[in-house]
Amino acid sequence: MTDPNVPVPDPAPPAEVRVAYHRELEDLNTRILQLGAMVCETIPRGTEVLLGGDLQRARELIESDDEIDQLALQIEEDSFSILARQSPMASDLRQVVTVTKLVAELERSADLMINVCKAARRMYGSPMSPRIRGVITNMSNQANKLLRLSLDAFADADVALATALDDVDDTLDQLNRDMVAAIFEAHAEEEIDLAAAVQLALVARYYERIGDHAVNIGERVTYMVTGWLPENTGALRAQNRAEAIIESGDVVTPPPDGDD
Amino acid sequence: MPRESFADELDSLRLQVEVMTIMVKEAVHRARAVLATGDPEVARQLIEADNAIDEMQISLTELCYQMLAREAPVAADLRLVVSVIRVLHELERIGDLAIRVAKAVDDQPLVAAHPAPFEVLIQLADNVVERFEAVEQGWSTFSIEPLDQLAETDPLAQFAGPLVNHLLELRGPDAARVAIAAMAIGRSFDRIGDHTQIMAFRLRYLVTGDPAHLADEVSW
Repeated sequence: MTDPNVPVPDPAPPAEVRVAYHRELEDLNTRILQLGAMVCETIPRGTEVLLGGDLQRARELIESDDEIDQLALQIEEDSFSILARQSPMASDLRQVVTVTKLVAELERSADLMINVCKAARRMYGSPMSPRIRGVITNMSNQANKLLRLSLDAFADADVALATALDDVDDTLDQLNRDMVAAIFEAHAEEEIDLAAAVQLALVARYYERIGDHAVNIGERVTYMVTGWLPENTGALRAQNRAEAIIESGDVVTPPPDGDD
Repeated sequence: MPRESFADELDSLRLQVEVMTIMVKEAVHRARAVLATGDPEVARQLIEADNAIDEMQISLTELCYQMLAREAPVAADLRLVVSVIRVLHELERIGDLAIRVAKAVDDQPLVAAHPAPFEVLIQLADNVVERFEAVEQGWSTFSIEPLDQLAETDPLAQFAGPLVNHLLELRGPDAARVAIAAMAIGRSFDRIGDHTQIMAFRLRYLVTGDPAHLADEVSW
């Protein structure tokens, strides 16, 4: 006989409810990867616009950003809806939270390629030295590779790949430095004017930032799989620094550069 | 000891976001001061203070995740928690962008030696500081009224033209270095303005519940 003083546990949700819930989570994954694929496509397309000076394609790419924004918004709203209706726990919760973070990183990466297209418009008719064209091509390929690898890490929940992205990104950082050196050289030799020099420096920065967003995605994947928050790097750094100050009274070392 | 009610937890969360916003406001003020004076001591203070901002972002983000998992909030409470997660990210980014200005302190004399573009940069920085203060006030009172004073135009859209025109008039062997440094500083302030605007859209969404403000945020 049932003891009336013992609370009755909530019945487990029916199997069809659980199936529908997991289908929603899978659908969320599918659509964030779809968004990622769309953003990856903008990288070579935007680079072709820049190197080819194709104003018509620049306009098309800028207009296509609305589609990316729309999908990003839908995914974000659906993520919140799942949080509200399904109250996911543990790894499911981390997955949904990670998706909301990835949306922002991907949407921003697409915006950066739109900036490249706008720079192409501003630089229309300006010549580019073979060295600069080569660095731009390399930066574009590297940024695209990094973003694709970060999405692979998400799709496969691959922590090893996710944590390796930071090292892969070093190549892009070096290419950015090469680009600035090439710009100074080209300007000194009057191959490019000052306006083009400034635009090219910004373009290099945009590619570098896409790499940073890919690294951020990798950190979020690590969080999704392990529960480790990427921000803990900063916490550990701050804690170590605070302990060092207490022990030695030395001046603290500035943290690495942050970004937009 | 009785567990703090969820409503109290949300109040506490709002208060802590307000504190973090004040810390970031200080960073933005210092970035403006570094640009204006090139004072390496202010740059050092800005960089050091960022640790506290990072730590606050960590602790509050974790708190938000715990709230989502434990309380499964709905409607306005859910909007608040997810919006705070987004705003914490924006605040942390603004802090990082302020650091980028601080790290350009060695280029400041080079840029300041050219009064015309330098003056435009100062005006841009002042505009961004003003915008951030309006948004900070909005978030601290959970009111969209302070946002009404925000101009609708993008800060760099207003200042980019004059800045670029002045930079293009530069001559000499350092011209490219000065122009690129000035543009990098200007872009940092511009991006602070963008993140500030996202905080404004997010507050409007939070207060009104109208998802149209989320669309504005994404398309900004």
